[in-house]
Amino acid sequence: MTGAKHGFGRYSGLVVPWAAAAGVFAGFVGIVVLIGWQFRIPFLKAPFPATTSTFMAPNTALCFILLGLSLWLQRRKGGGVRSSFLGKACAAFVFVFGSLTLLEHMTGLDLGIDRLFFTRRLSDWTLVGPPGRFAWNTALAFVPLALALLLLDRKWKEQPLSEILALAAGLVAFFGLIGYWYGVPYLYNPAFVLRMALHTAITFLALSTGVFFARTEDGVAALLLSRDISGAIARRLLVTIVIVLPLLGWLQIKAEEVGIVGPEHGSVLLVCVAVTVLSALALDTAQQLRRQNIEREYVEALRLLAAIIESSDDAILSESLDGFITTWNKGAERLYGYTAAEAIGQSISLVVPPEHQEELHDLLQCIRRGEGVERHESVRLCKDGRRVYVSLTLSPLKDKSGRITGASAIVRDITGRKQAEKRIAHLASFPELNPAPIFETDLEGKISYANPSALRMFQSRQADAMLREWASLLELFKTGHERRITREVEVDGSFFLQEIYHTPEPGTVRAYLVDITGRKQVEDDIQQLNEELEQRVMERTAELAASNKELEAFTYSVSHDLRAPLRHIDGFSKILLERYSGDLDAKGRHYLEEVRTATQNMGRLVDELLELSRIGRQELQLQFAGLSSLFEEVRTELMKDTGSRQIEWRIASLPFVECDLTLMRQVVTNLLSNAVKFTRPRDRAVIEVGQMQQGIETVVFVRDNGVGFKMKYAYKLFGVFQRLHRAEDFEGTGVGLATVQRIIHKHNGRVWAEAELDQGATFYFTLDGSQTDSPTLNFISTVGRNDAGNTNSAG
Amino acid sequence: MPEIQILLVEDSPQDVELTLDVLQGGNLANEIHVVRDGEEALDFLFCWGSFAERASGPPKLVLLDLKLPKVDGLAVLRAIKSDLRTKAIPVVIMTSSKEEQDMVSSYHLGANSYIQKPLDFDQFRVKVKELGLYWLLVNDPPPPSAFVATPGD
Repeated sequence: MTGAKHGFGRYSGLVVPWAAAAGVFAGFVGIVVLIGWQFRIPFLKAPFPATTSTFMAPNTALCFILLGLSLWLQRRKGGGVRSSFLGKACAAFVFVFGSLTLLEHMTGLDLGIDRLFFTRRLSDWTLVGPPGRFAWNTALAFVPLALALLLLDRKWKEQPLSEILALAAGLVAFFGLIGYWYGVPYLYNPAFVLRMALHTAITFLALSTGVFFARTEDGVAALLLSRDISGAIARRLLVTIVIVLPLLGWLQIKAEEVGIVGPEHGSVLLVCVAVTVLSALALDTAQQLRRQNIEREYVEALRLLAAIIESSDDAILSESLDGFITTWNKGAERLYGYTAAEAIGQSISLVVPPEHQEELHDLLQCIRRGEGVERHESVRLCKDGRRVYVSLTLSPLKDKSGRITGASAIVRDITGRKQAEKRIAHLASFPELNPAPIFETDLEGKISYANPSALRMFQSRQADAMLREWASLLELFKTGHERRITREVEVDGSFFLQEIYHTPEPGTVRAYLVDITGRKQVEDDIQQLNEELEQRVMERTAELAASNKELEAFTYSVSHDLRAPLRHIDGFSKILLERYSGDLDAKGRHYLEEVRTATQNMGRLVDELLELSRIGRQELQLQFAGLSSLFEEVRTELMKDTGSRQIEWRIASLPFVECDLTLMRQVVTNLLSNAVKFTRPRDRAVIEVGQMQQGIETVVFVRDNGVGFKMKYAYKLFGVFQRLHRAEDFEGTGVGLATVQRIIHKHNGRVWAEAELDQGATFYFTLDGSQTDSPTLNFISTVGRNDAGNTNSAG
Repeated sequence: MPEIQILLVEDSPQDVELTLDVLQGGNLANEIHVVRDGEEALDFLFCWGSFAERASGPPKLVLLDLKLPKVDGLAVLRAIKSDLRTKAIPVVIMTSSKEEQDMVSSYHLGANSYIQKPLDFDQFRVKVKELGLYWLLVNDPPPPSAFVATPGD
């Protein structure tokens, strides 16, 4: 129903029936008048006294009947297209009739329509003028009214045509009515004699309002009947203006008649009063509007607040004083999981875990006392059974009189915060429980954090010194770009390693101390141990030196004590041989000879052993020496004893090396003498000396074509007293090669041999300093001191 | 008492016998006096102790072994060569040691000669004969005035 849509309020039910009723009324009036004309009942024709008003013309009555019918037909309940059409037909007839009558009035023509109906009764026409013709203004009212009814549902530029037309008709009638009221003849009786009857005017007005109320969606009816301020204002204004203004006019006329005011004052009075009344009306209307505005703003504000609450992330809810939920916003739905429908009406203990129910009671008590609760942290229960940490803020809700009716609560989920707090506390416990002092100050030295260990440290006396030092550190940080300083400090007998960090943003200086007293102690201990060790080393070295000295003394005495008996043996046996050979037979002499040989052997052995031990004890006295020349020297020496032997010497150019000359000579002597010795069986001995490359090493070799040896026994070669040949074949102590090895090893070199039985032997050795990656050595070695190639010498 | 030609300072009896054997072969035996240690040698040379009554003058040659009991050979050498009464006496070190240090010390202390006793008896015999010949026959001995300690020397 459109009435509900526009809020017609308490009048809505009257709208449409009023239109129909108006139509019925008009029709009724018309019928009554016609009955009056027909049956000649003057009262029915003119109910008002003749001084006030005249009668209604029969045509008028007829037109009224038709228009009334038209209105009723078009607006009756259950009226379909046909009745609507009929209604329009009636209206059309009246339109034509009225227009023609108006035409007659204006042109003076007589079209005969006046006498169409009730012709015989027209003899009762008492008025001047053509009988049967209704008044000029009546015609003027009929035309637009009929047209209005014809165009009842049409609009012209959004304005309802019928209403405009009805308004025109109504105005004409209104003028007539006012005229009757004021008793002013010309209003209802212009130049022409004929005049609109009073009841005609009334009926016109009724019909007009009927037309107004014929349209319900828009137009005057909608405006007047609307429930909001616009309807209220329209009603008030219209009623006031339509009634008050004519009233004032009437008052003026009456005042002038009675003589209270003169004619010229009357208008002034009228205007003043009218102005006053209308101004008051305007102001009152404005007041109404303002109140309406305020109300609207208030409503708007409320709506905004409601929207804010609804859209808030926090849960906002309200409860009654006994704890029943009255509102529940979306945030509450999200937090607790209950929808508004599920929550509203329930007790708030729905979301309170059992262990917190008591707290609920206390909170409501607070509210009853009128106190709010701010950020109370607690635990609540969700629909799915989860517990959440929340922060509650409760406020009492008061009604207009200040009485507390309930509480509003804002519930914020702080589970995240609580977890973060737990995490922070957990993290903070690390520095807090750290036995090492940790503290932080700002750049002015104000301590912003100190863990318990640091606080304890600050209490010690010497901490003051450290803190004073701290100030100078801060200066350093303030001026420079230092970010980190590491240093050692002593506090109260304990040593600390201090790591100091400077963070320019936000300007803090932090110190981590690590107790290094233990380390310091250990360092001291180590220092002490080192000193002791050095002491011991010195002692041992001294002992060693002493030991060496002892050994030398031993060697010394050995060289005396062992040799002496040997000499004696030799001496006496020789004397024996010489003086008493006559008393000895060949065998006796032989035995004595053996004794002498043995003695001499032992002598050699003693000498070589002494030599061997001496080498071991000695330090190398290194110098650069040419191996070529060394070999040459030794060869020359050995050649003295080789007699007539044929020996071919091939000594190639050999490198200059860094070595102990004396010892090296020994090596060369031993090697060459061996070569000479073991080539004795050969007719032509060939002894070759040269060098070759093995990787980065230079290897010197001595090769002979002597009797060689089995590689099987090669490992024995350099052993002390080890011999690979029989003594009667080749003399020797078995110490020579051992000596060579000892000397070569002392030079950090290597010595080895290869041989084949009866094919000769080759002895190789390297020295630490004979590597050819030294360019100098390389150059010198290739130049050599010996002529390159073979050196032949015989004998 | 006839003049002592050679003073042999040697502690080993075998060495004494061998040396005497060689020296006797050269007919020099009667003029050899043997002392068996350093102390006895010094007593003899300086006329101390049991040799206080020694009538003869300084020997023509001292054959001095190095390894001696009581007083070492080098000490004896030092004593001989630092006293004007005995300094001029030719001292020949006869020892089995080949140690360089011994040679250096001996020569530094003023030994007139150093003989290393070879192991081989033949070689030994040759050496001793020759040194005896040299020092007793070839060499001109110092005159008696060389053995007087006068102030101002």
